[in-house]
Amino acid sequence: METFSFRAMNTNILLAAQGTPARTREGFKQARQFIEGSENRFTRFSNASELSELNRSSGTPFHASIDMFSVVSTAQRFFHLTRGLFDPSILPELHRVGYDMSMDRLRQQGAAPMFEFLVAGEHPSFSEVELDERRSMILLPCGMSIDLGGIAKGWIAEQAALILADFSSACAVNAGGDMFLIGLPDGEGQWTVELEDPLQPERTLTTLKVNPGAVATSSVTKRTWKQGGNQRHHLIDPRTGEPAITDWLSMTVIAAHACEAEVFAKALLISGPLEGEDIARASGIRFSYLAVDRDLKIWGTHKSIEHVYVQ
Amino acid sequence: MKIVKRFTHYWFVIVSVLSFLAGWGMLAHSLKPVSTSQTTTINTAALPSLPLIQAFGGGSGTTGGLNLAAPSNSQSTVGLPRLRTGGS
Repeated sequence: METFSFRAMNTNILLAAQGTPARTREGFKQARQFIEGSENRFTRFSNASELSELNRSSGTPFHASIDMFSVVSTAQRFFHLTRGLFDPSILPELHRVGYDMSMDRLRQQGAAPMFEFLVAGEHPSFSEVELDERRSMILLPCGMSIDLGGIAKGWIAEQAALILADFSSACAVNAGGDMFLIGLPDGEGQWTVELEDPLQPERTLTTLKVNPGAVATSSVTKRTWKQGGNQRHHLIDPRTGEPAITDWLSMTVIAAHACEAEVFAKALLISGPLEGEDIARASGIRFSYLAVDRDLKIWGTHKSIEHVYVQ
Repeated sequence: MKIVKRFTHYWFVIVSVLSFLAGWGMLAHSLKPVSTSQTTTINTAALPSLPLIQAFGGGSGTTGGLNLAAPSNSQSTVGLPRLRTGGS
């Protein structure tokens, strides 16, 4: 297979495609253009992005692009399915705990300034966002600003893979561990995906065998920083407004679509084991999940254990 | 004497015909040689792509006095891509 890698969305992007070098090169070019264009649309770290424009418009109707409308409406659907554990409107909380610049810049800086004196404020619920599909209008309630980071990354990976599939018989787009797979490599019955050890990312905890579709992992050990001597991570529990305290170090979801995998990886990590099972069952969406606990034991349903490749 | 000669004559004729038929049958049922025009498919593993010369020279674009053009992109050929998941 041909591969192409570059950095975008503050993470490493790997494109892989089966086909002639000339065809795959064109596919990589178009997929990369799409990823970089979408990053400019969905990033909250640029004042010029469409997302920043949307956030500035809170209280007044905003005419959104088709892509923005699609992601926001999908996000609202998942907000309900996860009982609010997936909540894009926690952006003020992210700022409060110090995640107010890109992770690349935050890592360079070493620590975030202290804003501990700010308390988590009441803000309108994400369910109050009004959507008018016919006119592609979004109305954020007054004072609401949203972060579409994870769900947008999954959506972008899946759309980029669909672009790449026009140039190849089998392809994969891996955006920092959130991936979408189309077709199968010649001679392979399934794709092979390595699951990282959350404590030593260079080490492989186990190997997964997955069918075409999506894989995403959320982890409390990635995207971490120090704030006032406290270790922080980017997964905010909307119930507390603080970085989630959870039994799991990481949660991997295998699903049909990248948005599903991304959202449920985050929601089940935050919820913990008991509520997570209930949310998964009640959602009506078919997916498998594997959780890694603090002793690096892997937990999952009977269905999800089928994905673990035992050598 | 005449009877002995006639018997010998018939004997040689019968044995010759039977031997000929036996030989024909053996050849007809023997294993056939492989046709030289038949094509066979051999699966070969793809050769790994050669490493970039820059890898030996620190990637500065100059190695031992040779000016090397910077790679336009990082496309490469692999057997299967190494896909890892662990959060980002």
